[in-house]
Amino acid sequence: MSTFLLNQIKTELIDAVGWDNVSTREPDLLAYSLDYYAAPQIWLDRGLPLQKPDFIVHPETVNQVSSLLKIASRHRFPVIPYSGGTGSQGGITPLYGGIIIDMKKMDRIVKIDEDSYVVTSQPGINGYRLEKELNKNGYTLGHYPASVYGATLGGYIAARGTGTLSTKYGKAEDMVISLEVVTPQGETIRTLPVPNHACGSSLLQLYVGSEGTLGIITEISMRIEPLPQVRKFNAYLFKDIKDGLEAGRRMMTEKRLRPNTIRLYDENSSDRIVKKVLGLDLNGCYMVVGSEGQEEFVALEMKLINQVCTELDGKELGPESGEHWWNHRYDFYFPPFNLMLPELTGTVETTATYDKIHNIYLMKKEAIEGGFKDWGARYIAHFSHWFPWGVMTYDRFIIPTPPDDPVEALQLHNSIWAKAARTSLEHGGILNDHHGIGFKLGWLMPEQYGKAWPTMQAIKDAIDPMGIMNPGKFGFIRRF
Amino acid sequence: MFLNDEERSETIWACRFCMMCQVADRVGEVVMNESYTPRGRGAIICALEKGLLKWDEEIADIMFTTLNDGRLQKWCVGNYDHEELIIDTREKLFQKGLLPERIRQLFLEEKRKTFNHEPLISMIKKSGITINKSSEILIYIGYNPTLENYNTIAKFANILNFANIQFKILFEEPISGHDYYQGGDFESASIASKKIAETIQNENVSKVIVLEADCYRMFTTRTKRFGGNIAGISFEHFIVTLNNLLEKKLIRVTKPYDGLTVTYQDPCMLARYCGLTVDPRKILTTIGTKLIEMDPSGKTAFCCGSGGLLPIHQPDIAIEIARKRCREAFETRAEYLVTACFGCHKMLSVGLEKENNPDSPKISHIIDLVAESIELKKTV
Repeated sequence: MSTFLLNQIKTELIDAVGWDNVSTREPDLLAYSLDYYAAPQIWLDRGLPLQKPDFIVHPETVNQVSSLLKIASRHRFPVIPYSGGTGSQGGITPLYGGIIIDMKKMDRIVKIDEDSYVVTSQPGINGYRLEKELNKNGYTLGHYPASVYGATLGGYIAARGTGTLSTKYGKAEDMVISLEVVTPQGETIRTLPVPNHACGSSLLQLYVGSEGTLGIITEISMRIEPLPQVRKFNAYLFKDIKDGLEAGRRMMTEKRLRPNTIRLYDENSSDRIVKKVLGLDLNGCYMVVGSEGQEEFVALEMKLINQVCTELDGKELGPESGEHWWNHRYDFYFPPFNLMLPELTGTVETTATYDKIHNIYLMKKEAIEGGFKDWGARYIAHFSHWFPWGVMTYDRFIIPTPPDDPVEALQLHNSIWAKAARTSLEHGGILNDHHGIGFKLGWLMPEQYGKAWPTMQAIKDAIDPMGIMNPGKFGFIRRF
Repeated sequence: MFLNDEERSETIWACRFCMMCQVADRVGEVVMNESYTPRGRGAIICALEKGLLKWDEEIADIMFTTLNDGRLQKWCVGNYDHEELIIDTREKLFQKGLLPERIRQLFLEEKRKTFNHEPLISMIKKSGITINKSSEILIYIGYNPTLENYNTIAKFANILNFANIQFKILFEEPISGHDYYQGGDFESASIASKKIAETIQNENVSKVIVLEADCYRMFTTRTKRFGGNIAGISFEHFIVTLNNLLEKKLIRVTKPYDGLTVTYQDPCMLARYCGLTVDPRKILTTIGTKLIEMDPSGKTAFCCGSGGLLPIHQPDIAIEIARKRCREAFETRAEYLVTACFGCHKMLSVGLEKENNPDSPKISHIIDLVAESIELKKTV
């Protein structure tokens, strides 16, 4: 793009949001080029130039967002919505440059509706701060992702996030009541005021999980929960993953329980990760289970959980072990305990129904450890988000010594990912449960959707005909 | 200097991959720009080392727009010392001649002068308080007090007199060098450390009671490492002195507050770096106040906004941080916001004024509260 045109766009951006809210400073462009996506981190690690945006813009009102999108539309200039920067799939990577619109300054809680148990907030609010505000008023969002310290409410919705207690409270898409969205053309629209209706297809769920490819979310209403009267945990050790999975399945299906947590670590995770972080010396599969709510209800639920686990020879480790895990649940994801460079790692998680999940686990383990044996590939997994019909496996690969060459390292990373993802798809799983698609998995979307993919592309083309919204993501065709 | 090469590399690695302490960082909360978050700074420092960014004024602005209050390390599961990484990076900026203008001016001013406490000493003497030049105890003031501070310091001197503790104050008091350390001018920090240590040694004192929290941290954790000879001298923060006097009943509470509600601002340098969180709370209980803690408090308390030379480099951001802390004080509904550091006192006074909240607590230095409760006037 010509220098004059870039300067013209900058003039218009400043006109829309003010001098202080537009940046072209080099450190800012670099800081906004990075999140948890491996590719730019590998590039930075090797001292290579990053793919940077042209502008960083910080709107403060919905009208400003609208103005920004009108400018971008008129110039057919890419727009990448950004808030917490905690994604791992390349969702914010500015592949074609463009404008990064950082939503953090739109962080106001609009209303807590205490009759309906609904909070309405702007999307830039930090997850931890939102939770603290709710707690002060006796509520919880019930959404406790490991990224809570950095992620925002907008990010929860845009990427269909999940949290530690999702088994009880659901994923972000289960909690959302309604949205305000600015379309790529700059129009501000609202979804219906309630999520359950018989008024046609769900516009709400169209935008949920759209990762900035269909518009920018500017206001969100979410279901909230009363703070639980009690929160209890227990822990068990199973001889193998199959028994552990069966215990979880029985809790969720036959007993129809709703524990706040069922977290089952496979042997490798129990032996390596749990030992490293929690200091527990375990030989088998470690499971933490919890319950929260009214005291009598929790006592009964914990009793039934114990009954299920002991029937399957789960060795009870006691509440202290479970509480210890709860108190350190996020430590797994932060230095020095997290898996990061120089190791090459990736979370290739998937979700499937109970009849398929064990096989998927075995197939992926074989695909990674067998398929990338020369690289010393390791596979670890835990099962952490349980539904009445199935469960998500949070499985990861680790290459202890990746190639020095960044291109080779990235190719290897992509190859393992593709192998893992295709194995999931082949055996009844999906590409992703809650980390999203972004750039990294976009190219596999047509494969996942098959004949339904043109429908997805048609929806994108109808809503964003110029393709300015987060281009290069989701596997959509480039239109601008 | 305070991180070796391995620690520095590990800290950069950890910070660039981690957003855990993002909510512990008030600067990021106010500025709302990734470059001003701990993770952003980690990535920027990494990029500087890899030659992907140039050392320039923009980098200096980012590295000086921080509080360096120890809260990030306290929050960190891996105990990585982000604050020391920033000071280390500031040192590199100093070496390259890239200090922000206001910081450069501050250092020039500090090099030209020592603190002249003659008016303070004169005022104390006029109040009938005895200063004993041959005492083995020295009170280190640590900055240029305002007239309001004179009264508070005089009350502390009076308390010591009341407890029959002899002390002296330097007419010409060299600086501790804490600002230089924070600003990355380690050479000047070293010169200042040696000078203050030599001055104290020449006074033949065995104990120094320190009024300012940052100076106390400097003396107890940095002066020796910067080459100051402080062998044989013990340093005590005044908050410990006060609590000891009350515990040993060398001063007695004759006019307790009878449940006056107060909240207390922990100075970062005192609570996090020196672990002094118990003594002020004991004092507040002893004098009869009812303490209502701010959220957060103690070792995880938020900074008042005066850390890391922020009020010098970015005063507006510092004030915004002070206002946020004041709002946390409002939430306690306490009648008084109590400070134990003149820096916090000044910053929070500005915050309260800017907030202009009719329900705002009154602000009081802990010395003033204690002095009132033991009815010092009768003894002077």
